[in-house]
Amino acid sequence: MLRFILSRLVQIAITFFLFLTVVFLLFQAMPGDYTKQFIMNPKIPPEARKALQERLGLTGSVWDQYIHYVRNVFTGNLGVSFQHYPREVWDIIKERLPRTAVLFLVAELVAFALGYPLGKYIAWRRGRTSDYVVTVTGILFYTIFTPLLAIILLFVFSNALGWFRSGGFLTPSLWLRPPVQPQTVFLLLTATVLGLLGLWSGSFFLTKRIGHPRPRAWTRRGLVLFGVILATWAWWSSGLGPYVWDIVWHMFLPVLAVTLISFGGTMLLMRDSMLEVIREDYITTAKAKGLPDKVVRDKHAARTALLPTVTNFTIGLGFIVSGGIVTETMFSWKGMGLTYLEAVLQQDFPLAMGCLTFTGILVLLLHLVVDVLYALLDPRISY
Amino acid sequence: MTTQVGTRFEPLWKIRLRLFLKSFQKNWALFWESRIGPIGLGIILVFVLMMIAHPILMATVWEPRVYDPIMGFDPTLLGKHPAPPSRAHPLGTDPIGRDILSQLMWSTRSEFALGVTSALITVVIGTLIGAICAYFGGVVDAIFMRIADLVMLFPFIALLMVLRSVVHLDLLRLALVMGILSGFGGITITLKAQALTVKVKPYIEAAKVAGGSAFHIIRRHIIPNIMPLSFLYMMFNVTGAVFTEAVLSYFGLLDIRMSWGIMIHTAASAGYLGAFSQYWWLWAPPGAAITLLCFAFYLVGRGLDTVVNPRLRKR
Amino acid sequence: MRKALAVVAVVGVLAAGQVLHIGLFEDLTTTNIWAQIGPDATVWNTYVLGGQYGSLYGSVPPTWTWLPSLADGFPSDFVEEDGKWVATVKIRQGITWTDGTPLTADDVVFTFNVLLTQVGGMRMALALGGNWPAYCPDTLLAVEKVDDYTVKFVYAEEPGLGEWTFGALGCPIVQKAYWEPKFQAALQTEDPAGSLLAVVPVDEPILGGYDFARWEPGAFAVVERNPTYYGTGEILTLYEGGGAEISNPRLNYRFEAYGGAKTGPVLHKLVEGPYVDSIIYPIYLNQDAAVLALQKGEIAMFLNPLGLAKGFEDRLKATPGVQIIANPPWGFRYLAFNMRREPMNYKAFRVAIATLIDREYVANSVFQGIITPMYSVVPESNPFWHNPDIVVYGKGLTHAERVAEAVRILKEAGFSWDAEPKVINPGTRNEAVIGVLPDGQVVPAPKGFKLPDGRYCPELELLAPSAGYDPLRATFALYIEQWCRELAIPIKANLTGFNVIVNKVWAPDGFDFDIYMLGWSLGNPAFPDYLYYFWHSSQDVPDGFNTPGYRNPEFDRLAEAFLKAKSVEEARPLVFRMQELLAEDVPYVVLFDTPIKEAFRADMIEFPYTEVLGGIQFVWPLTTVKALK
Repeated sequence: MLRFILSRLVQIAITFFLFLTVVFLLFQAMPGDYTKQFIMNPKIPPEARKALQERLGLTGSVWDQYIHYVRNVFTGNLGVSFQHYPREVWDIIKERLPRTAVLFLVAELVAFALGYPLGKYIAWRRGRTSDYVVTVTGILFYTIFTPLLAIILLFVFSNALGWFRSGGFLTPSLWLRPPVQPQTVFLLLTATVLGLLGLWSGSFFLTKRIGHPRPRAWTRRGLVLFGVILATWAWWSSGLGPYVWDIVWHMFLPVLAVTLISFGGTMLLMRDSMLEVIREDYITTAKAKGLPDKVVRDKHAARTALLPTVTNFTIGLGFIVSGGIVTETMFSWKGMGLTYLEAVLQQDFPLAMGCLTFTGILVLLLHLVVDVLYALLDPRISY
Repeated sequence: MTTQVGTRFEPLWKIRLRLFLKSFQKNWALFWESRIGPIGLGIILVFVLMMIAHPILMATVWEPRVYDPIMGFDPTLLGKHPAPPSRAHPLGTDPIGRDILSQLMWSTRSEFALGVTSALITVVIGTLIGAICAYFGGVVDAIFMRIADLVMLFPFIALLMVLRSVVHLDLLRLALVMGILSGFGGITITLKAQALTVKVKPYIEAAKVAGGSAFHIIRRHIIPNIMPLSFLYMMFNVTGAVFTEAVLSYFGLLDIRMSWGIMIHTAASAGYLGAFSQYWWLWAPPGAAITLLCFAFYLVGRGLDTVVNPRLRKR
Repeated sequence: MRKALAVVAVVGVLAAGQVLHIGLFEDLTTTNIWAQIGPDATVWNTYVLGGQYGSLYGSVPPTWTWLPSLADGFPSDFVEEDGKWVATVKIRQGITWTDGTPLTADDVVFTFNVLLTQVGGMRMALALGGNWPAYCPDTLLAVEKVDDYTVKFVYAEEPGLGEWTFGALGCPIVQKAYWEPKFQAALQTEDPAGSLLAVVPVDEPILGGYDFARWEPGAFAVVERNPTYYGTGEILTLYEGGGAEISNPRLNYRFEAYGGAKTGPVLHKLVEGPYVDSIIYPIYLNQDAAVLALQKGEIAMFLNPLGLAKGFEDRLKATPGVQIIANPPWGFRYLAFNMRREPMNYKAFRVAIATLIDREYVANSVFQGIITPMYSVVPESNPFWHNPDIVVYGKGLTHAERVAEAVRILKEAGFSWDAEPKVINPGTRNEAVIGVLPDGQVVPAPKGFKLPDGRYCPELELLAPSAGYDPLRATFALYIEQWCRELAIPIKANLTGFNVIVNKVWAPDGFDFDIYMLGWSLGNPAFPDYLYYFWHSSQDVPDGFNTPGYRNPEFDRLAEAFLKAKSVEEARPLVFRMQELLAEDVPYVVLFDTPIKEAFRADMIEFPYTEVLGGIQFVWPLTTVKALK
């Protein structure tokens, strides 16, 4: 196992290095440079432009710049943003990432919680009307033009019903003299969600000893419910309640949009992998033994079919940056996606490269996690 | 050896055709049975009809000065644009007086061209590389797999946003870039896996023993056997390409004169998008068209899936 | 006693102060003054932060009258002293920073000393970049303290308007006590300018009406009323004849300029506040959200340098309480020819294209009045500098007449066709350049456009923004392409990204384009010095601003004299003549611009005036606006 992880790490390092090189070359190939934007003011003398170029590290040979960039990345320094000069790229990512992370984590989890059982259900009801209806609906949401979905949601919930604000992540008048930074709230929210996720997966191990499936399921649900109540209580009693609520309230529409889009994908994948598993011999055996359908479905089939779904889910998390571009723009949610879009449009190369590099690292790490998960969970695979 | 005089050999192509028709019939039945596949096909047909109808309408009923999708302008409604649907303009006009229906129909052609070209390139590259990797393995395989890993590390839309300032992206180039990028991406891994299952079949061994060259075996045995899967992926890739173009156009990042994405962008940048129901004809038709075309190709893909992948079939 | 009453009145007004919400479309990028004027010179930073500082003089909207603000009266004339040119400026007494200390000559001298300091072989002003070099022109040698309230400016040669009136005297002044230690520390580092830009100011003493209070990145920024603001209660009276009067009862200060009250009836009487306790600037990342917020009354207005798009206007018109106003823009969108290349080097060719362009048709028919046709490089909206009597090729002609005229001009200059364009049925609905004449004679499509030397005209590229960036310019470019193609002039519109055009026009080794279409937003309306930068032959160098490559010795002389002019009256005839030359030689074809439409809630915010060049966003820094609800 250790050897496997090590060899994967080496491969990842090579891929990552190639990735960095491609990112660098890509941005080198972009015509012009950031200082061109300053050309729009004729009163700026050429010397000032030269000085700026030097300050931004835009002079020197391509090779020097490349070495500089790679060295920077490996020392955990993503450079200084042009737009926000002299703020560090890493500092900007630190500010924006939690906003995106909470949004997508919650949405993906809800989508998973919806898509998994639905996929399981329709696979079992293969060929019936309910299968077609749910499948077609799932595909429709999966292929819907994201801006269109956002427009419809904003129209219904913000404009017509007036339940939610049409953008942003907080109400300014509430946050004039807050006891806490929104930054912190986002981080704590991420922690809460991850904690609940941990509690949920931990509950499987905790309830292992309970013999009967029904009380076991109830205990599990109870545990999760307890966690949710505990978290809510903790937030409320900390006096941060209104502030957290403000942010959660603002999150609702974007979360709904991402959920609707990704639940279809999860569901379809779950359905297909279920159908594949159903054909496996051991399922036939289980059925032949006369086990009830529900047991075969939930205990035998679903567990195996879960693997590709989880894999997809995990790797998908790595792409929140690009996935966020559309959603975050539509809902004015200033996270990583919008940051990247702006950086590219404004030719703020370090920031754009920083976002891409960060995504690359994240995806690679998640790939590793998936590999390890596979090795641990799938009895058919051993290393 | 006796010569069989009088017995007429059936020509090879006829046998092939017959076999093809037979398998086509069988597959078509399976496709039909999937129920969702035909729905998709139906929607695509409607779009094809729209595409064909546009030049005919322009040549007969629609006066080009008024109905040209890019340069058209209806002077009779001066000061009233964007005008709501009327008899002259069944889907209304856009903020600068162009007919929405004409734009919608005209753009269908470019969407098809883009989607199909891009998907075709992807599938050709993916199939070739998948087959080659599976057959040769070793270094060749390792190189292409690393390339695939690398390509998959890039968020697609994010990457195109950068590329569009490196390459002047018109419709054809966009199709090319998207096709090539996805061709070297994840599809090679999937198709290679499929090709590997073919490679171990006895007839490949037989062909090798018979002295078939690598090229011959890949061309005549491996590729035909992964073709159905490639075809299936092609459908999904059309969805991907159309969607990506629409998103980039919506952000105003492409150098295309007209497309469904541009139509929504025009409404948005002129400030009509947020009025929702008040100016619905500006965003609903193109939005629905993008969604439906993506949806349709995806449905066809799913339908084909049941043909290609026996496990998904009805028991 | 009168003074006391005035103070009471002022306090009474202030007690009614409230909170204003004003939307922004982009986030701040810094809170540091050096960065905000330097590399982070975005309009959004200026909106929020610029109001904290003051300068010795400034051009005051809505009339853009140049008046003292921190200074006491106008500067002295320049006198020559040992080969250098010296003038003095008096500083107003009684102005205090927010920490209670008075503004003195030391602060002014310190600010300029920072800019004049040599770092790494250049002046700090250059190293900081942005607008700093404009405030610290090359010819400025030193700024010295004469006494606590007088400073002396020393120039190498007698400065013109650009270096003096609209240059150094407009520089924002910072507090010496706060910045001195930070500046000294920065000087000790390897990159002093970088270190100065990196300072994050905390509780920086300021002079202006609003003090920056809080910035929540990505969400909002807040400024609060400066209770010690020197200008509170100050009355600025602008007279119709151009006179102005400043009177500040609290500081017992009075100043009359340009003839003061003698110049006719009062045009504006502006009483400085600030009247609101704080302004919250929520950041909206898309305009739709801001429009919705305005409709709901969550914000009183939003700032938008480009003005409202037509759709937003249509939607807001119907909202009760919302008022929409239109102001003339201070900019233009134009077509530029590369006069270094054939056939754009022929004046006749440029004139012919200019003749073909029917601005009124595009403006009135295609865009239904949302754009305003423009003709001069100085917009009409600035009557002081705009020359109304310039030649406009093809003005008032019909399409057929334009075609005939263009053909005539081109033929006269020696251009020719294989098949020459002829208009049939002129003036009727069936007017066309190709078709069948009533007598049955067939007019073939024009083809084979040839240069005077007989060679065929090469394919020309017209670079213009894509519909994604600016649908107006994209459509306009397509019309120009169509009009030219009709005459077989092989121009092809390439609609592409803004960055692509900029990087081709200002290519690293010179100007790499045939024809392009872009827009300029111009600087200070009081002093159109862009005329020099855009067309003077010295700017015809790589990365310079004379993109067409216009070289006209007469224009050069006028432009130089203009920059060196000592007064606007002296400069005016020069600017008029420059416009005539440019209109005649057409290096640029000025096309159009859009009026700046802005919306605000008349039931929440009150402006002292709404007619101002460039829009009410120039009613700034909002020390004269009131909150109503």
